[in-house]
Amino acid sequence: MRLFRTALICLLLASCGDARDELDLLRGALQPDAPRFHPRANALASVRPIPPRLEVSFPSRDLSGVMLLETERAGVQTWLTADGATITLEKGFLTSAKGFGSGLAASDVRQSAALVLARQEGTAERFHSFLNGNDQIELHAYKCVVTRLGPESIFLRGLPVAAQKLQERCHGVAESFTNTYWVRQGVPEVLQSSQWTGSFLGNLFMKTVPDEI
Amino acid sequence: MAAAPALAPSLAQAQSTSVYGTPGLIETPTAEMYPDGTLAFTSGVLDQTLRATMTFQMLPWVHGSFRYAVIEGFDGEIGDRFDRSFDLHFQLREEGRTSPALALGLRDFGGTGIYASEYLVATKTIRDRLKLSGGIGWGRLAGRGSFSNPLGLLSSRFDTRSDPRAGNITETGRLDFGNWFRGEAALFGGASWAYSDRLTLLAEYSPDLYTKERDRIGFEVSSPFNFGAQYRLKNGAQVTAAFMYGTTLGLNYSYFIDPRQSVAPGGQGASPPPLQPIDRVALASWNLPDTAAPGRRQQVLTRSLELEGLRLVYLEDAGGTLRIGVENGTYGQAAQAVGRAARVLANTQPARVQSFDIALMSNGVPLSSVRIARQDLYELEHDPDGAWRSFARAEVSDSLTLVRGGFTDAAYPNFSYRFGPYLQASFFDPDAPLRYEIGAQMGLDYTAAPGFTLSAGLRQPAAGNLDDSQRQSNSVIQRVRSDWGIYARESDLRVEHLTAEYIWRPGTDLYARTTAGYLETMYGGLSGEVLWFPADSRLALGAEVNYVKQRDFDVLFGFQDYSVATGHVSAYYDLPGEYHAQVDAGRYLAGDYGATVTLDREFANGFKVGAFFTLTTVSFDDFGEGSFDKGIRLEIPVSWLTGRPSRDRLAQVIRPVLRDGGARLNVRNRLYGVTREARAQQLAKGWGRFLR
Repeated sequence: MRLFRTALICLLLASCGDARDELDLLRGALQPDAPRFHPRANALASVRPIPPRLEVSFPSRDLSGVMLLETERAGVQTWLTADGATITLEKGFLTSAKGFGSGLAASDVRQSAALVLARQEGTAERFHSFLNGNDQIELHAYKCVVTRLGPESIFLRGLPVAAQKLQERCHGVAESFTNTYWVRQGVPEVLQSSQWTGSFLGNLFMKTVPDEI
Repeated sequence: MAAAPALAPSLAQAQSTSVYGTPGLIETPTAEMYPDGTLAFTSGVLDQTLRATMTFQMLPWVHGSFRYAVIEGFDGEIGDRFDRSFDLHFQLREEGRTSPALALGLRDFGGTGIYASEYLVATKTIRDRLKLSGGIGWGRLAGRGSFSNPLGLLSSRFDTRSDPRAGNITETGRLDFGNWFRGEAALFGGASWAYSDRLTLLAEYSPDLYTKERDRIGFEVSSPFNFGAQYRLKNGAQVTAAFMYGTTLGLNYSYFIDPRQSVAPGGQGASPPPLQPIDRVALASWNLPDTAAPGRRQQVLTRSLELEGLRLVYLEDAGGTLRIGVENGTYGQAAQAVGRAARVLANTQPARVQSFDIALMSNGVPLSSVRIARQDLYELEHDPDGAWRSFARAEVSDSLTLVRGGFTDAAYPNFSYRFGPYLQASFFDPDAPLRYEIGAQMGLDYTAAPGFTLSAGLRQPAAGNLDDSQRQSNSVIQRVRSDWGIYARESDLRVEHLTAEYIWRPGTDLYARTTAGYLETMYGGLSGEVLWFPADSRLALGAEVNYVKQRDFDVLFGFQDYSVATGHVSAYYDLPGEYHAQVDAGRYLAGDYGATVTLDREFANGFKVGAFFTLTTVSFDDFGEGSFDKGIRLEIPVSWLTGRPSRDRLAQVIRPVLRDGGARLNVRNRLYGVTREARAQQLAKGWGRFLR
């Protein structure tokens, strides 16, 4: 099917013109993994001092990279990849992922965040809305159980930092998933986490890159 | 590919597909259905027969099929038989806890009648894994063990079935309903057992005696029992191998597409710019009082919209409201273009601007306008139900009242071009399963002033077999389309179109178009159209008149003698439940009067599957093979295939045969197509992408 798709695209779209996107499209079809740099990412990368960074990876796709903080408004941070994809985080909790192919559009994760940041066990409800393959928004609700997995040291810039590891297991009508958080001892802050982006790409692993520890 | 649907086993949902490409065992049908909207492509071979079938589950209880069969040596000295047939299959009753599903089917109801049969079939699932089916069939299915028609009890006219019109090619294409459920009947049945989620074993009793094949190609039927094994691949496709009729092997491959599942659900295009805090926007250099020249702000806006793939053509500052017009060259869903434009405005405009009027424009013609309150954007950007809530708060209106001087200086004249390869395909014509042509094409558009555009389209064929057709048109009416083979043979570099076009808005809810020049490959002349289409209406009405002359076969600048006045009145209706209907009534190219009815299933993402037919004053006999014009069409947004934003679409019409009756002019930019994406119904369907 990949071949079929590529052949179709090559035949029907290998156009050039002032619609430069089509060349990009062809390149994307032929070399799906070729890096593309988005102008917004270029602009952000030239900002000094360097904006806060986040190490991210999709274990299911063997993809990894660094995201830069693009903006923060109303308590929501938007982080940008080099090719123009973004995630949003609210207190370290993933609320959207756009441009990766998955359709996590927005989320209400307040109950989960309250438990995890308090390092408390308990149950929470969370809501995710997804843009589906038919360009429609689906709102899904999940029931989650937060459990403490005990203290664990994680390494930030090679230095060990004491953290509490928590796990959140969620069940919805059609899907279930597990998120894991490493929350800093003392000041509650998610230092590292693995959070679900939807069934298309699975979990996203994130780790803060602190300027100072 | 992610397009393969998960065919979860459930009650009377097809687990297996027959050689005929419909839910069934090996040859016999079952009463099962595919999940609603499924497109199933099947190719099956047995002995010297190939059957390629496309089946579409139009409604949860109806599926229809188009089949192209090749039977080697069937026509003796003439050679192979290429047979096209249509099926319809209705589920009369869903499977209950104790009762079976019940379905009624019409196979090959309008073709040459080789496969013509009707059936009533019941299927019952037992403990999830075992499915038993049994039914009664007429026509071809009434072979072995046939008995007199039980429907004869109702009326004696059911007792006899006249000889199917197999072989008489000029009479094909009419509905054969005079023969449906007539003549003798026979029973059929079988079972499928799902050994695992992947492997299903099949056994059936098929009364089909392959009488015609026996006589013509020596097909042997020594047993009515067929046995097969079906394996479901990881992508959902099915492969079936079967031992059939005690003599032959059959092989079957089915591939399924769920049009609702694009390759990447949210798309892989870059994310929208996040909304900046309003105080930061206010402090941007272009908004500061001392440097705030409007020119500088407009420059920033133009550039920022450009980054999102939008062209700013109109800008009017009305105090608290900023009105802009943008041309969307990037997004398949107009709602996404509006959403991107709104965020760019919020990130660039001074705080005093409280709302935005965003007009979607096409070559300078405002199609409609969406008003968005700036505060709503901030409030709903991260809301889980933000897309729907923002639609509820947005106001879609007919258009902006354009003021003098509103068009930006750089907007017009505007020149654009595209250059690239093309593929023109023709499937299943009577002599060849596939005709195609590939080559290079160039398109040039010069919009001199808003609405006024000069366009040219050139094609240079490079390879293909479209021009190999030696088939002479045997049309007895004016040859308005059937000479397509001569056009392909005698042309080289082609001027596909060369036109001057003016589109304008004569009033509220109205659009008008005039086009002059070489309108399409075969015709040139004058064309005029008006369309009434209120912004939030499901209904649109249009009228078009054309005076055209047939172009020379070399598709350059000359004309032939034939000229005709042609035109239609059209009604378009966006039906609830993903359907769209269109009726065009008027005078066709050959001077015949009649009407075309088109029905499409349109998914919100733009994937379309449809069918059409045209009945005109040209009689079935004069029309020739096929009796009247009809066909099916498929339209796939390129973004569905690639996951990246694009306005391109792959469209293919499949006609059993292209002839001269009911032929319509192919003028470009018919108003409904140009305007529809920006009207409220379509905006609502795509609004899920507003925040994307």
